[in-house]
Amino acid sequence: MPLKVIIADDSIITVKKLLVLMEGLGHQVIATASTGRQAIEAYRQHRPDLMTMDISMPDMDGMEATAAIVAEFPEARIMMVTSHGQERMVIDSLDAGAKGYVLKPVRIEKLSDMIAKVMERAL
Amino acid sequence: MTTAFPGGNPSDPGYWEVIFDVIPFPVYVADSTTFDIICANRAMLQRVSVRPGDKCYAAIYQQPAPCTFCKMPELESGAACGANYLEFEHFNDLDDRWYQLRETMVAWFDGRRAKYSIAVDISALKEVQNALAEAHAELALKNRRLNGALASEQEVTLNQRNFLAMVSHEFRMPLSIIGGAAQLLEIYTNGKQEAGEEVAKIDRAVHRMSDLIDVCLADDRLTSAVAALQVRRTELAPLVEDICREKAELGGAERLRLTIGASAAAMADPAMLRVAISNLLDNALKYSPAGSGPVLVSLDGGPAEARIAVADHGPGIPADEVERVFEKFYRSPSATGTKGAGLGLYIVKQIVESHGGRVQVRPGSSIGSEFIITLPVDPEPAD
Repeated sequence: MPLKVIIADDSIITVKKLLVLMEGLGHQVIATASTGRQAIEAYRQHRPDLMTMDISMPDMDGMEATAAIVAEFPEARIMMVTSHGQERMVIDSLDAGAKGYVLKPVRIEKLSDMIAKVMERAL
Repeated sequence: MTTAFPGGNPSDPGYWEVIFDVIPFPVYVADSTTFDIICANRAMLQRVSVRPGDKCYAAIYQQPAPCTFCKMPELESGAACGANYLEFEHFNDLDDRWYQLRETMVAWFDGRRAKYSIAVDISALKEVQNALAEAHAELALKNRRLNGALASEQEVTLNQRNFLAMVSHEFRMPLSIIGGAAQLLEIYTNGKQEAGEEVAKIDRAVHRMSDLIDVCLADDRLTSAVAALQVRRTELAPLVEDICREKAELGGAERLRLTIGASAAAMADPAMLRVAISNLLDNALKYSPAGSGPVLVSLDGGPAEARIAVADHGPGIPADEVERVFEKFYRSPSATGTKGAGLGLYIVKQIVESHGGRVQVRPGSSIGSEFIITLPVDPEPAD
């Protein structure tokens, strides 16, 4: 079933790449955000099935934005898509409520597997 | 550098281009205030087309403004403290590759402050590292789910125990009213046999239910006692002798025979172990018909394990029930003639297992059944 997806990343290039991958998997990207605050706003407005979240973003990082969204919408399915592989970042993201963690570069198989896991976890 | 390249003149830009060109990794030099590219080596030009005067962020990273990850300010402040270079990993989302960047602050030959950046492709190494980090994230997520499930299961168990204890207490009052009324009814029956039999049925059911309530409460206490086990080095022979003496006083010395092979000591809570052994002896005495010969109790110590066996002259336990007799509330279909709630052997098993031991039953033979407790031996303390 196609999912409604929001992509949050401050890199236009990453957003474009994720958009192509998501559409390749048959999902619909309904919005994008380039800061943490925009991500929260976009979530409130669109209530997507899935959100991908970068960690380093201006004004508010992805972990803070994830915690704020999950506090408001506990059922939110958010997966981190980031270049930060340090253990502290992984644990803090999961503590914030992320349900998946993907490191860049994102390949289509990896993305597809992680989406399946995140959707299953949220059941 | 002049010694490494004796023929050159460091004031000549060509001197640097030759040096940079022999480096097999991409290198570029950029002005630290204007971000103008000053020069780039051959390996860099093979990757991306840059010309002197281009902005580094636009030409290399396709950004409209200095990159958010740019280290120029840190390099400047580092240089002020005497550290003139930074080394860091960077994921380039243009070519989807990981680089280790070494960026160094230098005074360029024409007097400008500049940085030169060397990029080493570490994508293969990062692939392994990232796969590990992703696996770590997966494990952490699974672990969280399992812990959540465990916590809710523990809560359910606790609620069940509390409910059972509460219900058991609440049942006592109406039960004693039924029992009291049955005793009055017995008086009113004036010796009428049929009515008397019905009243006796009520009375038996009240007793049975009262026993069950006792058992539920005992089980609750057992759980707490096992959790707070107080073990110490315990000699098994005096303990078993004492239990046998106590039972013999009540039931008759001729009904028990104790054989002690080799003594042994175990790390045990003597009070709890006494309950377990006593329960086995009570059962054996209960199921052995009068005049059937003594219940045989034996203690044997081996190098690793001690064995306490209790053999009775009862009907024996069918082979298909040997596992089930230790279950909570299990009563053998053949045990209808004796009282019990099906908790005695369950308690024995709980206690023995909390001591790291095990209890087994040898199915019925011509002489009855034999229960065996095996406990790990606590070795003799060295002098």
